[in-house]
Amino acid sequence: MALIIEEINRAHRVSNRYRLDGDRATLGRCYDNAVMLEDPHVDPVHAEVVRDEDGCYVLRDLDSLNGVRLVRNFRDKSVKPATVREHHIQCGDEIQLGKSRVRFIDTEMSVAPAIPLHSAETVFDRLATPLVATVLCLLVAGLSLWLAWLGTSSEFKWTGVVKVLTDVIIGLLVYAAAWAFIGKVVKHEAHFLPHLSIAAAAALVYAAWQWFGGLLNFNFNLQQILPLLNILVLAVLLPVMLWCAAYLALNIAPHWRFLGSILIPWSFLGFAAAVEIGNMGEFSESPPVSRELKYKGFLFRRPVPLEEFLADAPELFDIPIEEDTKKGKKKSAKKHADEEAASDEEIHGE
Amino acid sequence: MSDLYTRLFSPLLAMLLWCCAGAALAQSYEQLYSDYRGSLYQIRLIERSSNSKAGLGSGFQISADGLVATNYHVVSEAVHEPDRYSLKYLSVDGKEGDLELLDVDVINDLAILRQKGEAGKDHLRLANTPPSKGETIVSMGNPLDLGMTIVPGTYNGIATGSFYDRIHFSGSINPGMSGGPVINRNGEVVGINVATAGNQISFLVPVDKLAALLEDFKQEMSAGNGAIVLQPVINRQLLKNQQRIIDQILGADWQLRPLGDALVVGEIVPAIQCWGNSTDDEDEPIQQVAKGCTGQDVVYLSESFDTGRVEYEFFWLESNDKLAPSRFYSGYADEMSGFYPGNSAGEDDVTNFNCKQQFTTHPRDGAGDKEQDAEAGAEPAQKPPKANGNSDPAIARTSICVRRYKEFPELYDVFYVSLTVDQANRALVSHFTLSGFTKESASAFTEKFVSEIQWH
Repeated sequence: MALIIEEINRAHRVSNRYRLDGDRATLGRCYDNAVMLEDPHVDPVHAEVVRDEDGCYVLRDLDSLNGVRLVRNFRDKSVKPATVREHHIQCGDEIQLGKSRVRFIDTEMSVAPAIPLHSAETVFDRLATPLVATVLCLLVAGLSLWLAWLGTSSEFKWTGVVKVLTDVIIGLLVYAAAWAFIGKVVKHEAHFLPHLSIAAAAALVYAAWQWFGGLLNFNFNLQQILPLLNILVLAVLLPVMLWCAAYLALNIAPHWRFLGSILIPWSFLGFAAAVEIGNMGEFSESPPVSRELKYKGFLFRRPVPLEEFLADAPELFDIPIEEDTKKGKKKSAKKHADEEAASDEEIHGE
Repeated sequence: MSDLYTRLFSPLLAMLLWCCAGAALAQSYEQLYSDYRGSLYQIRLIERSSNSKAGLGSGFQISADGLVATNYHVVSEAVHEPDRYSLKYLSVDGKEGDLELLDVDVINDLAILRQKGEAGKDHLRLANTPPSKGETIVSMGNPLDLGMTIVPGTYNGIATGSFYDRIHFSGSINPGMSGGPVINRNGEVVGINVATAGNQISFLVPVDKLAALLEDFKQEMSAGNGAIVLQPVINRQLLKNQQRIIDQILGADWQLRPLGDALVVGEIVPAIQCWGNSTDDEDEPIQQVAKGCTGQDVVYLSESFDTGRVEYEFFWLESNDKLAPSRFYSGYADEMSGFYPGNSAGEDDVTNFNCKQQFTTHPRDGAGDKEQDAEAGAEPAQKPPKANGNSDPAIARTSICVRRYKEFPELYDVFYVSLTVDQANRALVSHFTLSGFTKESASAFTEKFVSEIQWH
């Protein structure tokens, strides 16, 4: 049985491990120590660990300036923080020397089983190559440029090209950089390229949907439900993006990651959808017909002769008028008549 | 002293002379004003809760028992929201009183009211014969609440190019004068101020419309039906009016005019005036030619609601073959995305549009009705410029939308638009809006309209 001394950094991660096989080891700032701590508040030789006759380890403060403090034991919650001069080490004890922390672990302590690699991991690995990221970004830029070119009939100026390109590229870079920064802070892993590739892939999917949605609207008159379909597509796309970003950049448990990446976008989109649905029944001066126009190559439906179309038109005239509004009007008219009668009486009275 | 004497005396002498000369000699404007000022009123629309005026107009007394005439649009708020608005009059001498709304004619923008309590002493007579063209007539009213004003002008007959008879009056009518009388030199009412087009061009309702309304009202009264409920009256007037317009339109000989690949509808009746327009800039990738016709006047129902409009437009869009079809179509969709019905109506007035949108085929060149061929044969000059020998039917996306009037359930607005999608760099758009027509009228118009358009 041996003792492992782990040096813990500010982010509570192990930065160094030392194995103590002998009977004594010292901890301190000078280079003679078995455990060297890079901390100005630590004495050159701050403390020692000694194995006693029964094989237990004892930590002893060597009259250090700032003392030794037991912070906690991660296996035993009953241990309270206290300043110690001599301490029988338990497996899991966390000790503060100056501003540095060390943890003592028994070599016989069992460890948790391995976590299987997430299948997304291989995807991220593939996306992480500069080639894939560049190709995806160029695809997005090219597609945006092409759609912008198709979307206008007037001359396509180079300033317009530059604007579209810079908008797209900067947008993707900012997204990837933001997550890379968060990842760097939280997990010390930037993963800039996978973030960039994921953003580009999502942009491609959304652009493809926009084009396809236009095509559907042209053919099937989806003017009213198209905003809802847009929200639906985003409701799939955004959680996937957020899950990937959280997987790469954040240290959170899988189920929280799953819940968060679904609930956060859905709460915003749900709001937008509620507004959209609320507006559906509202009065509108503009006729609810599709305004999308495409060349007949994109026409999937069989046109009918105009006469056939007009033959069904009379059915359009059967529009129910809500009874309550009619009643309201009648009531007010009746009231008016009453008032008139009353005022007539007044005149007669005079 | 003698000077003063003559100065005072000479008008008197002139008056005496005038009396002797009889009615052939007209009164001076001063005389007209002082003679008839007692019959003139300012009509005030009062918002009940704030008890302050929400609208102003003019009016005049037309009978000894206190009937007052004005424009419907002066009092329309009081018709629609009697709980919120009341009507008051203010005489030239500052006498105030309440008014009771009795009858309206929305088509000719007239209303008859009665003074509650004591009626004014003076009233104006209505002329039996229209003035002769060029005759000087005098408009009276209270413009912008500045005080009673008289404006002399010229009678120029009935204005052409409208479904509604209006006297063309060369004189300035201003806001606030609406509903005021226009009298001839004999002091008889010949018209009622109603609208202005600026620059001394103004319009009056001919007095025979008021006489007819008064006659109707008197008949109703003598029938003893009590107070007239206005809503059915307005409904009846609107129904009659739309029938009159649709009969005129369907009975007329429809002129066709070439536009792109097709012959489209041009002038039908003089009341629907046509215009044309095309892209100014030669460098624009899509060249557009527009031809449209609009009925000039609408029936005013309330501030946010008008009706009785007939409107149709055609657009021909064309680009050179180098422009990719997708780009042509995106420009085309942008140009045509702003279609709205031609009349204004609010949520309280109409239902939402009920629409139907489908792709339709339109046979080309002679495959249409025989009747059309006969018409085309009669006028061989009207050959479209682009008979390109294409015999496939044209394919268009056609939409027809209908909305119903909530208070007049027999009336509808109909909106039709058809946009071709079968050619790579050319497109024809045909559109019409009818407002305030019955199902039968609208269906008949639609059928006629689509059958007139010829494809080549």
